[in-house]
Amino acid sequence: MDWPQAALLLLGGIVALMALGVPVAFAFLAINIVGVLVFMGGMAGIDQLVSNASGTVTTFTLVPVPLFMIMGELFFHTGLAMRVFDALDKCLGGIRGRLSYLTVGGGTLFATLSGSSMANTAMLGSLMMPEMLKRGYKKHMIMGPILATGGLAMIIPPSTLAVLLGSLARIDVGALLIAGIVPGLILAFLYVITIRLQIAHDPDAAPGYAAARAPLSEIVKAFAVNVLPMGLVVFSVIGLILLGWATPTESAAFGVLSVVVLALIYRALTWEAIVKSLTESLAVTAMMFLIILGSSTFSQVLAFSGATSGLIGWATSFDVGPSVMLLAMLLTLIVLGMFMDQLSMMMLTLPIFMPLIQSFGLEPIWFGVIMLLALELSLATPPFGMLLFLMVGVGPKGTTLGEVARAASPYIACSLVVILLLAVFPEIALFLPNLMR
Amino acid sequence: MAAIADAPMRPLIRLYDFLIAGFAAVGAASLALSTILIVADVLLRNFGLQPIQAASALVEYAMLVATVGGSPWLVRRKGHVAVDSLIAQLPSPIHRTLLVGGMVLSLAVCAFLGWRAAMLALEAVARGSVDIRSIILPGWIVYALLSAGLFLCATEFLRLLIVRDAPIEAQHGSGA
Repeated sequence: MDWPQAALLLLGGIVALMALGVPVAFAFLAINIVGVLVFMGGMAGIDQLVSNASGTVTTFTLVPVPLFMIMGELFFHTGLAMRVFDALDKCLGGIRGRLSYLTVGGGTLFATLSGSSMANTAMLGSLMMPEMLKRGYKKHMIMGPILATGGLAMIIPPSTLAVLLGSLARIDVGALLIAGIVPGLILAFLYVITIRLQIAHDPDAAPGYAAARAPLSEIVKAFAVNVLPMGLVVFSVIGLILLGWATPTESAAFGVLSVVVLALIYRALTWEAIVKSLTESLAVTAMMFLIILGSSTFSQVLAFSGATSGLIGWATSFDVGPSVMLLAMLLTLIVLGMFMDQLSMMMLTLPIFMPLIQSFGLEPIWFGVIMLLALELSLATPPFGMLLFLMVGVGPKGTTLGEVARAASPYIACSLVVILLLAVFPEIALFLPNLMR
Repeated sequence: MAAIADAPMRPLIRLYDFLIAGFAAVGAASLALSTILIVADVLLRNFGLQPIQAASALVEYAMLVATVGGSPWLVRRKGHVAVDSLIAQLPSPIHRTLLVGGMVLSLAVCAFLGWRAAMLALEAVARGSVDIRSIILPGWIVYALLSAGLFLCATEFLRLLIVRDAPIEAQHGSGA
């Protein structure tokens, strides 16, 4: 079989099965079975598939994924996240758009403490949306900041997605986590500017209301009691990696320990919170790891069939520079993100992208950060971006997909600006990882 | 499962439900134990004491336990990721037919690979093969775990297809 036919069978087959609603993990397993039978032959190939599948998830590099999830869930269910929000709330006073700013500020802070964009978005939605609706905020001022800031947890460490990307693409996980800090903070800053511009353009979008700023002593006390101790968590995760004292896996375990210690100190650790946190973490872990398990042989079958080398040969035959190739890869991710989840996109594209990155001599950590940003923004792109549908579900009554997409568009532009900045100035992402070396 | 449960079947169904929940509980506990093991290992090492040699191997296996323990329960919760947004635009009968087709395919895939994993487990027992990590573990464990998880996923898909009180819906898990 020629490589175009092989690529059509494997890549086309997986996309077709996904589009037909087959659960992603089982779609990958089904195509792997077909691929193995066609290209590797007989039961021996199937047994190799089973052997690969069991080996893929029994690796130490994937361990931070569930641990970062547990951190975020514990923050949410013990009420520690609420304390951070309350402290920030005291500082803002009655400025116009305060709840939108609070969403970005609190969400960014929470992104440094939690590895899950889902937990982040869920928390922001449940915490901020009712109050914003009550205060008469227009829909785009409610949904835009929540949707955008929720996704910051994908980029700012601890990020489960960065761990997955690092371990699947064989990029240094610790360096990739650290590389996301500065781009993530720049993105949060751009979100604040976006809100300011939106309010300047339409002051009624976020009505001002009398909310007295707390006295300085109260603000200082709230920060000292509710925000500063969270530094222990940030140090346990980011600090330990940055100082080279712990691997990402070890720092993730210490991250969980630090949240447990804080929850104990605040007398917020309940059996119910532990069970809920473990249950929700298990749900996401099993879901993601089964996709990894299912797609473990996919890249091998793709390579064995000649599709990988054929596609790479075809892509490099155009004699284009690295920037055009990067643009093509970004466009691919954005198109896939219109109807696919992040992990499926990674499993589908990494077997092609990583060899391309190597052949163009590009820095994998830098590309990893750009890919994380592309994955983040692709989920909010119409017509089928998954976050859009999530927001229609949890948004104000009568919200349409078009309204969510319009609310998301200025924040998508922010992500594009950061990607552009990274393309021109790679050091934005690379200078912190370089400090570790 | 109440809708199809005849009285003599009820204890069996309760046992099966308990098995699915029990697998998930073991999966969740494995995540908690992993955290404790890693922290204890790092602390012992840094205090100059004997680290736990089995820690990394057990934590690695815990990831598989969490995956196979949580997956059947997740099928029941309809928590696996599926792209429903495209076929949801189709007329209801076609949408439903495609969902059923997807479930049948998933069932077949799980049953087939579960069977192969069981065969590999038996083969590993017969050959006495081992998995060499930070400690040496019997080679059949990973295959047996995988086989059990896949078979239970298959039975859960079957349950979704035949039980009247479980409506035909897409899996709707979302990402990280």
